[in-house]
Amino acid sequence: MAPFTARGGRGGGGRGGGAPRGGRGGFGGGRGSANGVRGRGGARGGPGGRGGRGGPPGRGGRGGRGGARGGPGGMKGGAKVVIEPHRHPGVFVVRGGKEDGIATRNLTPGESVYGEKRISVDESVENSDGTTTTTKVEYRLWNPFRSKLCAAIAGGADDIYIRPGSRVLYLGAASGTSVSHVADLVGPTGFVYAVEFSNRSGRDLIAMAAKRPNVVPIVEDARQPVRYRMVVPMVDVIFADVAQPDQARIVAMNANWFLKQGGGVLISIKANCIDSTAPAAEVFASEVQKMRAESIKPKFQLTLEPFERDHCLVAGLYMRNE
Amino acid sequence: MAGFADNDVQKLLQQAEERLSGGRIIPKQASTASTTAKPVGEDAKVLPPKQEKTQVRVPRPQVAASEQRKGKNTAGPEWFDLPKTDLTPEFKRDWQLLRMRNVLDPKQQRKTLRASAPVYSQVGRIIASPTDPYSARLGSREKKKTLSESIMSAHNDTKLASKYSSIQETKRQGRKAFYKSVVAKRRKRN
Repeated sequence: MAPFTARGGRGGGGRGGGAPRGGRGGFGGGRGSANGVRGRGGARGGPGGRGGRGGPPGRGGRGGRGGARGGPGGMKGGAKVVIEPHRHPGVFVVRGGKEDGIATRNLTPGESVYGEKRISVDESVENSDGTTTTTKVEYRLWNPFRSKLCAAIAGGADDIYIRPGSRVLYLGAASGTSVSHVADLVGPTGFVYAVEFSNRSGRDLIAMAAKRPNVVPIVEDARQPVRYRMVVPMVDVIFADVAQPDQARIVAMNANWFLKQGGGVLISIKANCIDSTAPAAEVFASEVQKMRAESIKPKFQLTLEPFERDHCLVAGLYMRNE
Repeated sequence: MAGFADNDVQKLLQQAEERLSGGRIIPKQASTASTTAKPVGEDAKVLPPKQEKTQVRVPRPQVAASEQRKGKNTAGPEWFDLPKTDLTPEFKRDWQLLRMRNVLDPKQQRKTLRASAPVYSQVGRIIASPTDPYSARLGSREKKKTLSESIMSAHNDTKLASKYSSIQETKRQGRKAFYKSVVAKRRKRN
């Protein structure tokens, strides 16, 4: 096993950061992404010269919020695309249009969760009596600007631990946009336990979960895993995007309650939320140290740079007895 | 190692070969015992009961993931049974065009794709949503059956041609005039 490696950090300088309008964002060449899926830059004027995608143009850095209008890079409605398996199980690459995209197979065909683009495929299967039956399969495009997990995949994460059939505890589920993709990823045999404290977001989360049998919405405080211990069984992976100063402690507590030995831990760290005065790199290093202390063995760390500023994703394995 | 004769070594090697080829496992003999442990005679007496326990591991052939799936019709449950690529002539052409997309649109940099078409893939169509702006939708005439057709219809080659001609123009201009200006500068200096 490769030792813990801190990756990324390169190519951050001035890219989409300090520029008042969000700059131009990533140039694909140097990123070495997983499967040719490259990141788009920050707030780049939307198609047809509208302002920054969704948000006010002055915000800079991130462009994603407010619907995936226009879709990734000129994938226009009605265009033909090629869908390939990604390196990570359960994830697909969409080729065609201006840029490549990442997609998951839609569990609830015919519905978008947050206005994301869908791809319809006619799958025809030949029956034993020679006739063919055609079924419609749908894929949903996954926007790396709106999901940190997708940003990590696009940025070339070694392993996301989540695969079809696994049980995932998702802390900080918010409205359930990313959760819906994780639910697609684990498929009908897996389970996603989505924890969100905010009532407002929890309502959207429950609405999303109502259509997906493999999502269990939990509107509770992730600091008190005791409260949902009766709902959540032993899980394979914990994904945390809670953006709290005591994030490492929250994850460790949940891991202690629910995570199996050797299970995967994915933590998205926003440097500002932990300590807004210290430099981002120091914050990340101290968080990794905290994880080590909680018997989570860090495996890799990667920046979510073209998609999020001063964010990183740390992945590790839970080694309780070592 | 010098302890046993060439004869023995030859025999041992033969046995090892047989074992590696996945044939029957030959139980270890007394002569092999001396090779594994210290070649001293006294220890050989003690060792035999131990040898019963030690089993020869039959190496299982390591097969790459791509090899394992060879001949299967789907990408397996990991990718929700994505079917094998329908390698129609149209798809082959589409893939060729996808590979050359950097040439078609040099301003957009994308990863070069591999030459061979993917083993497992599907061709789909993006669903147009009524809430999309018109710029993010294709009209009924712009919708084409294959990727290559849509690229052919959408590709604006006047842009490339005009860029090319403008570059040529500057180059042509430069030749004589540039040289003359250099000469004039040189004369001024003298």
